[in-house]
Amino acid sequence: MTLRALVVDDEPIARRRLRTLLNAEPGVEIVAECEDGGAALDAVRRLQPDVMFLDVQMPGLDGFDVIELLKPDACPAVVFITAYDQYAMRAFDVSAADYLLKPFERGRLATAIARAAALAGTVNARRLRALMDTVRAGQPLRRFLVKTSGGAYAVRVEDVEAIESADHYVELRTADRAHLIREPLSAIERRVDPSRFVRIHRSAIVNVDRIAGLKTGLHGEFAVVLASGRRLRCSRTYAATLLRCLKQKDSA
Amino acid sequence: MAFPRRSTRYKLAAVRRWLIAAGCFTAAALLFTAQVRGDYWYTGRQLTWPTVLAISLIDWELWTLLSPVVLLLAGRLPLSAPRRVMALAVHIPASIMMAAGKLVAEAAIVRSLVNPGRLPNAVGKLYLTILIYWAIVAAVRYADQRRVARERELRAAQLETELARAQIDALRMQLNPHFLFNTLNAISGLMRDDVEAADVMLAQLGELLRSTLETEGRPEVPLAEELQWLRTYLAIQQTRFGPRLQIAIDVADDCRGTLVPTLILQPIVENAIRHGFSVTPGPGRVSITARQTAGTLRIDVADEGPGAPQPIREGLGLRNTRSRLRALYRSGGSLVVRSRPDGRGTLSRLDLPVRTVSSP
Repeated sequence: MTLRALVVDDEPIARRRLRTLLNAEPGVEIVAECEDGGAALDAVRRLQPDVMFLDVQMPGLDGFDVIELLKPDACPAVVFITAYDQYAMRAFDVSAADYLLKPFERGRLATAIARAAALAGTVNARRLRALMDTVRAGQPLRRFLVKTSGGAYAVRVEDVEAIESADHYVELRTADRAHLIREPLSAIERRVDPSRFVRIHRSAIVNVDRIAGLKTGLHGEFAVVLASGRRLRCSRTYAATLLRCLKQKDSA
Repeated sequence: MAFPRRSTRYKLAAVRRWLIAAGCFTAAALLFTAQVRGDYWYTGRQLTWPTVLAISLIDWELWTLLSPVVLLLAGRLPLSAPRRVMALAVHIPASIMMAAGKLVAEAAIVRSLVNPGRLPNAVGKLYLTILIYWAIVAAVRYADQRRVARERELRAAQLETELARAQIDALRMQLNPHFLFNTLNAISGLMRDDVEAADVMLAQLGELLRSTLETEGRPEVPLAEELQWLRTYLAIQQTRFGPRLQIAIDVADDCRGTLVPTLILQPIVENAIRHGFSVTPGPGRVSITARQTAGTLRIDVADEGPGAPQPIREGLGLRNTRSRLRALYRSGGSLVVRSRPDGRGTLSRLDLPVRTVSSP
């Protein structure tokens, strides 16, 4: 039985190197090579490889984003590849995920292939879930992943000026457009950096770096004016927290 | 504590000098008390110690009153090279007139105290008085020279620190695990099927590390030399990323000899690649443009990434770059990093005063 492999790396020479090494291994067939996370998502869905050699640092969607966006049961065995990322390496160790450090030698690759072959076909969803939990835990969210019909893209948290809930979705508002995410506002609030994002209303969180000013209204309520000119009401319940946060930012 | 404004600082320095002068004159008054008693004894008059002390104090504290004028003149007209003749033309008559005036005033006050009678040694005192004027002028010149030397030393030390810091930044970038290990990985990949290219890349990595270590302590280098270094760095990145990375360097010929701070472009170009190019899927261009007009060298580094977040949270590299610009040019240089007006990518704009190797 041949192991069908997918190679994902943004550097052409790195892909070529892996291709050369994998071609020399018996029983491995490369089904596709991808140069970014978006293409990898697409290739996994289309080709359903047995194993994916996945570079962690990539433009657009990175290696972890790819794992997060794949349905757990549709995810092949994964061998992560990284130049160096202390944080990711710790997460790999904790969750017993296999990974290669660039530049890796042939013997190390053979071990990874053997392990992946043993895993292929089994359900590794739980292991990957554990890995993602370790990766995401403890560090505030840096980007939001927005799924689209065709794939997904990332939005940097610093570009988001407000997060507002709308029915079953939340809207991420950047300076010029809105992105829809299917996740409750409260879940997002837990994942963002609390010194940057502050709740101002039952259904809105704002990026304090993007606040252009405050307009006072009646009954102790006021409106938050964002850099784009958008205005959001701040309810009395949350006013004190917002003011404290702004004061802290001023003194920092 | 807020740092005093420039003018306030100079006023403080002037007051400080005057206080030092006052201290010296008072000390002299005490020292010369016995001398005064001797002078009067010589003319046949026995004065009490308190009277003698008063006379001596009148003599020297008149200098305390007059010294601000002398300090001001000496400060404005130093006896140094370019305007020495002019300074002498002012100080010689000023010293004679001030000495004469001072002696007349002193005589009037002392006479009211120990009246009547002839004062001792009136004419001999004129020479001594003129001499004191010149002593103040000389002291001011000495203090000024020391201050200039100290400032020069401080500045040299500051420049040295900033250069060392830039060197460390450059090394940190080259030893940045992503850059270093990915480069090693690329060399390892090339080695299998393009030995020549692998060889070139190894040599480039070596050259990059070596040139960073060999800045020879020069705080500034001609732009052409800085670009040489940058080209090596970019050549490595080019090999790693292939045609996805497009590099455009456009430098006007008249800028090549202009001095720029050593390794100044490194953190800026590194940012363009790291936060602009390498986070954006698909081909991306990093362009470096240098033009000079009206005494300003302008270097623009632009990428086609997601743009700079506002407000920008600056990393160590940019902060160090700014503090180097301050050390070298005070307020004469600037670095502005912001999203490009068309919203596509980030533009870092470095403006430096034009200096060349020949001009000091």
